[in-house]
This record gives sequence, C-alpha cells and structure tokens, in this order.
Amino acid sequence: MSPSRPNQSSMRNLKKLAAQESNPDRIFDGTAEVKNGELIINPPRGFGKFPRVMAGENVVILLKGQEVEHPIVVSDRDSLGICTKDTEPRINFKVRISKDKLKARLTIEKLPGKKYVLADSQPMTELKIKAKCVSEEEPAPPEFDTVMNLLQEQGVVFGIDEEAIRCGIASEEQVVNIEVARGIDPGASEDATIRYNLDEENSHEQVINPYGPGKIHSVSVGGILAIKRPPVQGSPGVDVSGQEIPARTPEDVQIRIRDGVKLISDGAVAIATRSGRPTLEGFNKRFLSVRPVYVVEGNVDLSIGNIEFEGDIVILDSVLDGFTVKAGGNIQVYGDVLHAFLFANGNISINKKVISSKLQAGCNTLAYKKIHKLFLQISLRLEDMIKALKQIKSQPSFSSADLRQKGDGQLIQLLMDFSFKDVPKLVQDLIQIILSESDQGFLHGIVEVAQQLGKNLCNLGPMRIREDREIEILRDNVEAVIEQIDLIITDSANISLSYAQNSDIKASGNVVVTGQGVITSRLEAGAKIMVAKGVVRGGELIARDSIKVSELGSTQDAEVNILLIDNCSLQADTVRPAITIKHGSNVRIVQEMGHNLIARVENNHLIVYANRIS
Amino acid sequence: MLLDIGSHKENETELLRLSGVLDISTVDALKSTADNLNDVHELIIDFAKVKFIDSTGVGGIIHVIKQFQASHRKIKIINISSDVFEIFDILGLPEIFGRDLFLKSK
Repeated sequence: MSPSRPNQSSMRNLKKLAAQESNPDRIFDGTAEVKNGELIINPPRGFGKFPRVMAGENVVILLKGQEVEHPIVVSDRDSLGICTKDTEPRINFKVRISKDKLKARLTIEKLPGKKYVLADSQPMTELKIKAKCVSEEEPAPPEFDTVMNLLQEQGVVFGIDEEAIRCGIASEEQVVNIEVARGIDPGASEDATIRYNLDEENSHEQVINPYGPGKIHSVSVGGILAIKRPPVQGSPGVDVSGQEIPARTPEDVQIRIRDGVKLISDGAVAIATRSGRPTLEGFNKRFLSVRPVYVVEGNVDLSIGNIEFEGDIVILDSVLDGFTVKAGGNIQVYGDVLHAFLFANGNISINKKVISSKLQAGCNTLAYKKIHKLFLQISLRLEDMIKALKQIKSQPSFSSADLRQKGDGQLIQLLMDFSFKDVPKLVQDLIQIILSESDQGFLHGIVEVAQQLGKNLCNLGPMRIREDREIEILRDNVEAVIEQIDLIITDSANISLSYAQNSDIKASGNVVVTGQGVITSRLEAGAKIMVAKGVVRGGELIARDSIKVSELGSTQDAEVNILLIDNCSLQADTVRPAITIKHGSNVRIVQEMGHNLIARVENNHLIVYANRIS
Repeated sequence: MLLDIGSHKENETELLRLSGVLDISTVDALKSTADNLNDVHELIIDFAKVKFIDSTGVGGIIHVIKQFQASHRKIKIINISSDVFEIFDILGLPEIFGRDLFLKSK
C-alpha cells in the first residue's frame, strides 16, 4: 500500500496574524478543517492555541517527508503533506503443505484496489483527518500458469490436481481454499506372525471321560508345530514434493525353540524332532518345545517304583499306596491316586478319586518368581560392575601394579563397598528366600549359583577374587539361571479330579472337582476352586479369585473353613451350618441352612448373604 | 617412582601436597602422615601432582577420609585430575563421602 495524491495545505503566516490582532482580550483557538478534499488551517487569535491534526483511517500525514502517527500542532513553518492510502487490485496466494507432505492446499485471496479522497469535516481545534473510498477495482482472475509456477516454486510437483486449480481460479469467491495436490500413501507393512499348531487348551472345566482313550502323543516326529508368516514391507509412497516415502519397517519375530524342536525353511517352520506333547513354555520369552511323555501302562506300584521325569507322565491306571510321582510337565492319571504324592510343574489331572494323598501343581511358581526377580537385578548389577572395572582399568592414571600382585579382588571390594553396595543385600535376600522356601525344592543348579554369589559377593568374598573374569563367569551363570527359571515358571498350573477325600491339593491355577465332591480335604488355588456339581463336606478351601460350590457343609455339621484371599468371592447353591468364612481378620460363621449363598469383599469388608431355609 | 608429601600448616589447617604415585608402595607414607595430624582441624590434600593411583592408593585415601570424618574434622581433596576424578567417581566415593569433598582441577 503506497501513499498517493499528496495535497499541500495552504499555510498562512500564523504568527503574523496573531500579532495583528488589535484586541488582546479576544482569544480564539486555531482550527483545522477539510473542505473539498483540501486541508485548511485557521490560525488562533490573541493567545489562542494552534490547532492539532492527526491521521485517521486510510490517511498518512507526512511532516518534512516523515510519517507522523501522533497528533501534531500545525504551524506555518511546517511542510505538511497529506496522502491517502490508495491500493492497487491484487491477489494473494498461500500454499500450505501438510506435515506428512501428502497434501498441499492453496489459498487464493482476491483483494480489490481502492481509491480514497479526504472526507470533508467541520473546523476543529483537534482534527482527525479521514479518507473515504470513492472507487473499487476487482483484480483480473489469476492465470493457470501463474498458479502452476507458484506451486513449483513451493516445491509442489507431484499429484497436482489441475481440475481443482481451474475451479479455484474460476471461483467468484473472494477467498478460495482448495486441495491442489495429493501424494500417495505408503502401503501398509505387515509384521511377521507365528501360527502355532498346539493343543494348549486345558479343558479342566469339562467332564473327563475316565474311560476315554486319552491323548498321549499329540505330535510325532516331523509334525509341524509352528509356521512363521514373514514380515511384508509395504510399497513406498510419494509426497507432493515428489520424494519417496518409505513404508514402515515391519516387525520381525523368530520362532524360539527348545528341546524336541527343529527349525527348517530358514526358520519359517518348526517341526518336532521327537514324539511328545508340544508346548509353549517360558515366562518372559515363549519357547516352543516338545515335552517327552512317559507312559506307565498300568499302576504305579512296586513293579514301577517312584517316578521322576522331566516331561509329562501318563499313568494308564492308578498310583498306589506310598508312591511319589514328580513331573517337569503334566501328570495324567486315568485311575485313582491312593495314599500317594503327585508333584507337577504343569497340570495334574486325575480321572477318578484321590484318597489320603498330596497333590501339588506348579506350586513353586511364586517362589521361583521371587528369585527370578532378584537374579535379574543381580545380573544387571554384575553387568554394570564389569563395565565399571573395565572403565577404571582403562584410565591412564590408574596403576594396576597392586592388582597384578594381589588380584582384582581389592578393586572389586572397593566397588562393592561404595557404588555397588546394594549387591550384597540383593544376594543375601536371594539366599534368604532360597533357605526359607527350601521346601519348594529349588533346582540344585539354581541353589548352587546362589551359593556362588554369596561366597564371592558378600562380606569379604570379593577380596578373594583373583581376576575380573570371575565376575563375568558369575554373570554368565546368573543369566543361565534366569533362562532356566524362565522355563520353569508357568502361567498357572491346574488340578482336575473327580473326587477327593482326606487329601491336600494345591495348585497355582485352578482346582476343579468334576465328580461327587470333596470330603475333609484341603484345597488351595492361586485362582479358582470349582466344585460345580459336588459337595464339600468338611475341610478347608483357600482361593484368590473365586470359589464355586454346589453344596457346602453336611447334615452332620462337618466344619468347613473357607479363606478368601484378596478379592476372592464365594458362591454356594446350598449351604449347611458350621461354615466359617474368613477374609483377613473378618470372620462370618454360617449357622443356618440356606440357599444361594454369596460372600464377597467390598472395600476390604466381608459381605455374606443367603436365602434362609426355615 | 615415589610419593613426595609437602606440608604447610596455617592455624589449624594443614595442606598436604602430594607429588608422584599413590600406590601400594607409597600409601603407608600418606597414612602415617595423616595419623600424625591429631592437632589439625582441617586437612586439604592437593592432588595436582599425583600422576598415578592404584586401588591400594584409593584405599589409603578412603582410610584418611574416614579417619577425619570419624573425629568430626574437615577434609578436602583438591586439584584432582579428570582421570583420577573419574576413578573416584566410578567407585562412588563422591556419592558416599560428599561431592564437595572432591574438587577437580580446573
């Protein structure tokens, strides 16, 4: 916008006129006015004030060639110029490219040209000079080539929508905003996936057919256990500047395998190398393995003896008096368990009854999880210590003369005394857990590594270390143990049976009773206890998640103690007297027969209600 | 290479200037010098000219610091080269004894 039409005001010799005033008693202030587009200054008389002028809308006042923005007193000495802010018709273009560079929008703003003249005003001592618009001129429509050149200047060269541009140009709107270019999105990449061919479902809630054939070998040698679908890279896209946009790099995954499994086709297919039960094991990382299956064709009796087996054990008949069966995987018994002991890291399933026996499924999971966490922390600290040792030894000012003489122990002891003083505490905590939960039967190798850590890292143990390599060996051993525990810890192990009497049954997952029920037994579940169709007459039920029983108690007032842990709930269709329900320090005793008993925990309070039977 | 220990006392503050190597062969000199400063309320050990230190030397310094801190006397180690400071830092000494006790050379 440039000032135009300069109008020189006709100035008078104001001083001279003031002096000519004959009567000093008559005082008039000077005024300024606009008449016929001209600024006229009327001087003051006597001791009157000079008038003041200032620029109003669309007006520029120039004093000695400089624009003035504030009111000024005008006198005859001033060379005052008044201009109006006339404008030429024009078009503003604005190109906006989206952040992802996949879209470009153009804004066309048509601004008409305007011509002004000074607006007439009355004489005033302080005059704001204004201008009024007398004519407007629309700009000529923009040329297509002009827009194309502009887009090119702005780097928009790909995916241009010429039709949209022509529409925008032809539009009569004053402001037009149109999408003028669109790039091509990169194609979606697909992450690699693994499809497992496993029969992992634990159908413990179903009724077991005691005379069923059983599924002992679910995979034979060469059977496909998993197929990997490789990652697919999406096709690249192009942005509006013509640059290629690479597609997201898809995530790749590998089939992790353990015993009994082999990878073929460049790791895309996993096949069994032995017959057995395929399973995904591991706590953090999941590994595919085929557990061997040991099948006892008849009873576990004197002819077989106690069994301890790393994989699954299938007993086609019963486990008889006094025998112990220990499995690294699952135990399945087609007959009874009579006065016997069953320990499984996986599930235990008994098709018939359990009498005066002890069953444990995955019960050391909690203890293993505790030590797993400590081993992990120790491993990270040992890794840090190895780095610290290397860093100190690499310092130019550090002399290793005494270490060569006495061994690295002295330096390791310094580290343990100061920056790694948390390590002995971690090791002591670990040993404490292993000692206090020794009945969990931790694997010998794990106990041995804990002992090594105690010997080398606690008290004056570090002083006995000859070279830093020994710390590396310790770290390697700890890592191996972590991997081992990873495989031992299962999500949860369940027990299912038909009937139990005078038995102790403990599972890290669910305990499911499918038959007549439970008589004076102790059932402990990390998750649920379900006695859907049977009775619980005497004994103890302990669970963390829920307990569902068809009939609770007996007509002979056999006491049943129920312990609800955390927010565990209890449901019983029929309840008889002498039932004690506990949650923490809250205790409720059911003394009357009722139906539909529900006990639950709300805000740490135990709430029990049931329909009484009179 | 030996360790020279120059001392300068002003009022109840003793300044020990160490020069050379603080290691298994010289650490006893530092310890015995420190042991004889019973009347000193503040000890400043100048490390500007300590060229090498070994783990026994570090142990010696820790011994002197503990000795002074146990008797509620002030101690400071100044002008520590960045190499030696890093050794102290990795060992966690400034973290345990106080960062203002170990002053790096400028």
